[in-house]
Amino acid sequence: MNDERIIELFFERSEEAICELDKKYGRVCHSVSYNILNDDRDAEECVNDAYLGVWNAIPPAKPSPLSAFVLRIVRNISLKRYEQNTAVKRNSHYDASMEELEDCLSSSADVEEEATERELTGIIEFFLDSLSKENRVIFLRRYWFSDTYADIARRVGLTKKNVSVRLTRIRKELRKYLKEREVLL
Amino acid sequence: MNRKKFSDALGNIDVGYIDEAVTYTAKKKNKLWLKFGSLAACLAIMLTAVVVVAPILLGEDNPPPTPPIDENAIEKYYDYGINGSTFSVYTGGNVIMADKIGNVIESVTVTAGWKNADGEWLNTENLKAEIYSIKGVDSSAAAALKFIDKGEAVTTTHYYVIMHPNAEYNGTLFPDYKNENPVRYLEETDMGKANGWQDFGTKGEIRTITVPVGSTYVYQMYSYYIRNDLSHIYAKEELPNKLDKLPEWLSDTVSVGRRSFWYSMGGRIPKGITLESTSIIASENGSMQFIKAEYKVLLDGAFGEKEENWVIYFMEENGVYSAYAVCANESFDFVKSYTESIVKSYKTK
Repeated sequence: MNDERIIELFFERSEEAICELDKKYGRVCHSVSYNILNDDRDAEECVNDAYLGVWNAIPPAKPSPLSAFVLRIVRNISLKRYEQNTAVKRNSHYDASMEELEDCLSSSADVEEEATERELTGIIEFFLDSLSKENRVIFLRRYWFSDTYADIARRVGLTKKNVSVRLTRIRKELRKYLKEREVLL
Repeated sequence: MNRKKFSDALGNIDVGYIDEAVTYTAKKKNKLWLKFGSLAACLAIMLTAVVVVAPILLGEDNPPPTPPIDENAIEKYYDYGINGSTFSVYTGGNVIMADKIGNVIESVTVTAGWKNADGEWLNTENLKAEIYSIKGVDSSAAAALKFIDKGEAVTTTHYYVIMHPNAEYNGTLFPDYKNENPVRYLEETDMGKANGWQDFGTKGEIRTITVPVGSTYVYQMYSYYIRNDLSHIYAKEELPNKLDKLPEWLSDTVSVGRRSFWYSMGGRIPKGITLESTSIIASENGSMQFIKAEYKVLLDGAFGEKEENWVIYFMEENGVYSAYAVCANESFDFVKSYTESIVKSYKTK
């Protein structure tokens, strides 16, 4: 079923909307949440909560694309849960991916005025625009979706090693990019 | 800049980028992958048979299949231990609400860091932390740990219950928090009310579960769900004007929107909902009357149809409907009597 029809079902307040949404995006939603939380049941609950959020948001919202709208809610809810669970035991894919970014983000000197979150989002978007489509997808699959190297390799048709090398290069570029824009000194 | 800030900023990028990453397909197929694809598929089917079918054949109802963990996850994990204190042997982890925290007992240092799969430290950091008493709890059995230094953690705002592994966990050591009404929400968040509740684990240990909206699995054996203010779930629907109409109203599988209640509890929309019985029970202090409704719920799962038993307690307070629902996979009668004792102990804070 196409997204427009699913949204129509939400507007009609038909429960089939949630069924169809789950059929189409359930797997990817679960995987985004699981990659952050490393726990099946937590992931399941976060996805359910996200669906409830979508149910209450549409109407009036008429999101396009629907997938990204749902996934963002799933990611936010999962990260909230992550903050509650974390500090006890951290070994999710999300931890692994964020750990890789540490080098790009840590700064040796104090930055007088840190960029606001909104500014930073804009800077990241400019950076993403500077990448090739394939590299952009690799970067986002790793750091937005917290996919494993193996999953990314499968998706983009490269070897795991290739993905690893590409990500190292992209991170290097990101660090340079952030430095140039004085986000890092 | 810390990783949380970067992660939050990345989370807000334009949806177009996310859509591109979702819909992207490789132009060229990797021949090596294709070659081994069928072999991998066979292995996946065999693995699925072991992971999914075997527990069913063995009669294990509940555990869902766990996706295989990749090398990034299995190689190491984060752990911590309290140094040189009477609390060094304590283990734990659950978050406890701040209003249950008593006085500071002592300041400690905590060794935290990553361990490999064999439990050996890979790196460590020493963090300052404080041990607090938990109100009404003998600290020889359990206390609360609060980190002062952040270290690698995202936050230092939470209190974690740490427990003596050999303590006798029974009613004499722990306060009876159920008298404080566990059926009620503990806080409100931007996701709405019903952010969690306080309960006891199987050994009487304190466990506080805070989750958005309020669904969680508590024991392997059964699941229970608090739904405070049902109008939150039915934001776009009109609820019946009387509480006693609610049990039947929720069993309707024809009208639009009504099964979202069930969806919010089980992640599935039931095919059939039969209301078996309703009765009225009152709390022991007489301050509240609940409508108890028992249902048989028919679900269409991956392995065919499945029937579940549910019992739901509905209540009304100042025109607001709430529900406390339980579904048991086994020992339904025990679960029902336990649930009923909690409901009967209802007391407004």
